[in-house]
Amino acid sequence: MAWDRRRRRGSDSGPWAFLAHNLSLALFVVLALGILIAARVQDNMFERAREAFNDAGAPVMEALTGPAVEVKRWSDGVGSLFAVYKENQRLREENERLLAAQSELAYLQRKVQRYEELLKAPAEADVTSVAARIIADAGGPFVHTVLINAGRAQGVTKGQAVVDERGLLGRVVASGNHSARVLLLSDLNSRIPVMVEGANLKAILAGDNSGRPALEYLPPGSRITAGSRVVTTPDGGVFPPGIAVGKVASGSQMPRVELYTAEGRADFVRVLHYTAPVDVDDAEPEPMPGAKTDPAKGKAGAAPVAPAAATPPQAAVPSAGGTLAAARQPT
Amino acid sequence: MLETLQISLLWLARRVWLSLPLLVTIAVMLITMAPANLFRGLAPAPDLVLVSVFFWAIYAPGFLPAWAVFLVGLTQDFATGGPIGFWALTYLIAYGFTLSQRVFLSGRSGPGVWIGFAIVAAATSVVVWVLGSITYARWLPAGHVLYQAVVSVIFYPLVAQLLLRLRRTLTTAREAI
Repeated sequence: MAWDRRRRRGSDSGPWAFLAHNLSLALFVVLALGILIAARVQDNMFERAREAFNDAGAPVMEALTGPAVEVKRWSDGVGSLFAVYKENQRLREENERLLAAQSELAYLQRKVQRYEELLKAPAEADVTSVAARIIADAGGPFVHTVLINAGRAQGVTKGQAVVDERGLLGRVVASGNHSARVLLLSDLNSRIPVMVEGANLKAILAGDNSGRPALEYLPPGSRITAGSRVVTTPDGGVFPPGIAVGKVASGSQMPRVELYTAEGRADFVRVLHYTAPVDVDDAEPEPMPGAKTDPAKGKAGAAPVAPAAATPPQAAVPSAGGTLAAARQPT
Repeated sequence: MLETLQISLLWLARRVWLSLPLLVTIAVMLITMAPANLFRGLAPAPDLVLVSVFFWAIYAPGFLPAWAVFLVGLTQDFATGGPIGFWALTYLIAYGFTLSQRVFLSGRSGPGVWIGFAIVAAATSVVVWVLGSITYARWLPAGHVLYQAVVSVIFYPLVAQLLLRLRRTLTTAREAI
């Protein structure tokens, strides 16, 4: 009411006068604007604060997850009650198809293994995974992220791929000690290197706030057919190759991808730990002809004999020091 | 000694009591973020924080002052992982706009305030859209934002009823006036 009185007493009106009457409001508006601009200019400004906040909030959200999942199960149950018969029939048919596919898969697996042996193909990179639970779901208008209850302590680091049983969900953008934030594929900031199977075309899957992200940077004039599978590529060394992402959607001007994972359906996810294979030759690199090398390291061909003091510590054993140091000199 | 303890305990209890609107607003936000996904796939979840900010701005701004709105917004920024300061600014603008319209709304009956909330929600969604487009440096689809505003308006009477109960239990405090 105090404000009303002031307002009545004041002769002027309009937003500026209003802000002048509410000094603290004006102050906090300016502060919020300042933070927004500062965070925009310097991207990683609040990274540590975010991590700390996530870690602090994780136990609270985890406590809320129990009842929330119960509510979800209940509402899902009510929905599916009416479709039990149809669902059962669909599952039967699907099961038959899957059984047929399974035996074919086993056959193909053996075949591929034999071919790989024949070709001496290098083994594919190891992909290990960490299981985690989604504990918070930010359902804002622009931001599509989820919080999971695994962090650095479980080996989850920034950039790792997050999948559920259907396919790729997103990637880790920040990880605290026991929690991590996952940027979903539909988020405005999500950009993932993918490949359209069949056409073997590489593209970038760009989230644009819709359920169907767009395929960008396709080579001009390329033709892709609706329904083609879209999978991840190891380009950039972040994602393991071949994780299912979705299939090319039909009937739109811009090529879009129908994702296999739907937001809000997953509750348990796996975070993939992948190290891109790098071919390493065991042989030492040959020194460049005429290249100057540090004599202190005691291994250069043209350099004078290194003094004993400069030999590595493990070589400086009192009795054998001299001989070891001598043995290390290149001939 | 005992008296000091008693006084400080009473002081603390009073502080907690008076910050109940702030705590309830943050709690409501966190509950909306729990992965129950009741609305996912059908409609966007209602912006219950906006309902709360509007409610307290109309009925008792003393219980949710500007710093508290700022804090709520900042919490939402951190909790969603979006640009920091976005929701803090948005809710402060919504709060200020509601305060400026308070003279027209405070004496009205339920449906009148409901219409008031609809106007504030529409204005806020415009702010969200413009601010979002500036922050992300591209035109964002406005449909989702407007849709969320509609869902929030539909949910307003229910949430306002609950907040009104809280408001009534808090009513004896001087700060409310």
